Order: sequence, then structure tokens, then C-alpha cells
Amino acid sequence: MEDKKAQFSSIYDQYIEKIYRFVYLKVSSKETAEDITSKVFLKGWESYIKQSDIINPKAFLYRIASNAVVDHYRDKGKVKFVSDETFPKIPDNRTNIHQSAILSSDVQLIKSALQNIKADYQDIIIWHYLDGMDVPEIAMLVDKPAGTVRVMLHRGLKYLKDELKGKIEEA
Amino acid sequence: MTEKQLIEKLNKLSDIRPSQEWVALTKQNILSNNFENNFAKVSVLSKVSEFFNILNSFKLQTKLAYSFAVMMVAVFGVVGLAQNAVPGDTLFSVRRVTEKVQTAFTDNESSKYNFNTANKRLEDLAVIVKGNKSENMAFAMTEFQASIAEATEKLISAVKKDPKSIKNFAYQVKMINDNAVLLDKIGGSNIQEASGVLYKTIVEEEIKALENSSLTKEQEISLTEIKELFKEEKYLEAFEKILTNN
Repeated sequence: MEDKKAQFSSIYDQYIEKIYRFVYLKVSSKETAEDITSKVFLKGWESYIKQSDIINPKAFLYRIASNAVVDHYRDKGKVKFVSDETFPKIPDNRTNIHQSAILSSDVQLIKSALQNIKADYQDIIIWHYLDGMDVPEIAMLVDKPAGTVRVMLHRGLKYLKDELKGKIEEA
Repeated sequence: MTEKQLIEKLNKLSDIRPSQEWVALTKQNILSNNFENNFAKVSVLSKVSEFFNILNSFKLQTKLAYSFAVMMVAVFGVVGLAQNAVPGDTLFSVRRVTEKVQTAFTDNESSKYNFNTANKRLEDLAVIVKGNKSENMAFAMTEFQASIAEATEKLISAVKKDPKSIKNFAYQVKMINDNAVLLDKIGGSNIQEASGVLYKTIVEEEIKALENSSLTKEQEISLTEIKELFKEEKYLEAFEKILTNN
């Protein structure tokens, strides 16, 4: 049991930030993201106790997270709660207040634009551009050919760009 | 915005991180198997926000539920009252709508339903005659004739498809005639005449349908007899003959 705990602890450390970010970008508040992420890892841990030979923990956790987000919206009847404490901690080395504000508003705009595109595109964009997963890895995760993933990535970016048109200050 | 700029902006999102306190506490709770007990502490804010959320939606839902309930009571009340309305009454149109809605759940081609409607109009006529509601009489007669016409039209199309199908409507047709006779006796109206026309039309169509079918010798003989009865304007007898031969 202690071995399993140590193994899962390492999985937890490796993926907690990624799973949290993945969830956070799909829900409206930090609290909800924490709530769902906790449940994802609890479920992951429960499954890990039963079968520790999970070949791809990353794919396994992302799948749980994806389903948890779907369940969340189903349970809440798609009512979104917007937290006053909108953002989680974002390390910011900028000292200029104006630049900080721009960064913060950009993050919010991109997050909200991401939420407006199809969930499949959201997932692929997050995995590729934020988590640094390459196309073949995503293809394996979504069980689709690499070519399809490339097309989806391209389309997803296009939709995201359309969503952001005229809303964001260009760098 | 270029794709490169968009990707740069997207990369900024990778700076989103959970608080280290929460990460540590959650890990500790999960691995200590104490998650369920400590879960409430971990997500107090989440629960509070959910609570207010539910409360807000509940308020809205309560209002909606009340409005819906009031509306349903009103609708069912009117529909209920309308069931006793007779042609010429204000609520009769509501009753007719409910009858139309009922047809949506029955076979559109079934003239049985239309004959039942015609019979209902006859029953309405009986109520009007009994209640001495002379002002409703003309309207009720029109309604009856319209329903008879509609039922006959459906019956004719059914007979054209299958001459034997007339047997299925015999009961409804006979009931109309019996009610019409009874009503004429009560109120001295000329409804029987309308039902007489019904028999004439049905027999006429049945003769045409039989003429176009291949018949046995016995059936040919009885068709000749039916035609003779028709010529003598004995429509009811011709109708009964059709039924016994089918």
C-alpha cells in the first residue's frame, strides 16, 4: 500500500497542475476547478488502488477530468457561477501595473473564447499549446488519426481567432 | 491577430497554476484516505458558491413553477369546463380543439373516430333539445352536418381502398341513425333525413367499389339485390344487406 501511495504521489505531483489548468479553462471559477480536480485525483487514486498497472496515467487522468467537467455542467444544468476571485495564481514578473492588467484581461478573454469553441477543439488546443503534447500523443489520447488531430488543431485555432476578433489587444 | 500572436497568448495560459497550499492539502487528503472527511474543508468556497447558485436558481425555479402551476390550473379548468359546452356556447371552440388534439393520437384515416365525433354532435343536439336551448339549435345542426360530411368522406376513401372495411364502421353508422330517429321523436327535427343521406352515400360508394371488385356468383346476386334496393330508395335495407354479405 505504501508503495502505491508513493507511486500515485509522484503521478499527482507530475499532473496536478496540468489537470487543474485543463479543468480551470473549462469552468467558470477557481473554486469549481479545485473541486473538480480534487475529485479527478480521488477517482484516479481509487482506481489506482484497484489496478496499479495503468499504462498511461496522463491519458487516464485527462479522461476522468473530461468526464468530470461534462458531469459538472450536466448536474448544474449549465448554470455557470462566476467567482469574484476570478483567477488562480499566475506568476507575474512584470512590475508595470498596466501590463499586469493587460495580461490578466488577456487571460480572461482567451479563457472565455476557449469556452465558446467546441469541447473537442478546446481539449486539443490545451494539450498542444499549453501542455506541450505533440500531435501523435494527442492522437493516441483521443483515438483519432494524427492527420485528423492536425486538422482539428488548425480549425480550433481558426475558431478561437474568430472568437477573439476585435476583443484583444494585439501584441 | 496572426496565428503566431494567438499561440503566444495561448502560451500565457500555461502560467495558470493552483495554489501550492491547496495542492499540498488535497494530496494529503487523498492519500490519507481521509478525503471524504476533509473534502468539505478543502472546497468550502466551492460549496458556498454552489449553495448560492442553487438558491438563486431555486428562486427563479419557484417563480417559474408557480407561474406554470397557475397556468396549468387555468388551462385544465377551461378545458374541463369546455367538455360540457354544446355547439353555440363560447367554450365549444375549446372543446373542439381538445377533440382535434385527441385525433392526433388516433389514426388519421380512421373514420370511426369521425363517426364518434358525429355521434357526440348528436348527443349535443339531444342536450340542446332537452334543455330547450333554441338559440344553439342552428349552430348544433351545422356542426352535426359538418361532422357527418367529414366522417362520410373518410368512410368513402376507406371503402374505395377496401369494400369490406364498411363492416368496421357499421356500429357507428347504425348508432347515428338510431340517435337521429330518437332525436326526431323528441324534438321533431329533421336529423333523420341527414342520416338517411348518409346511408345513401355509403351504399352508393359501396356499390361502385363492389362493381370494380371480382365477385363470386353469390356476391353478384346480392349486388343485384342491393342495387334494386338502392333504386327503390331503401337505403337502410341496402346498407344492412351489404353488411350481411361482407
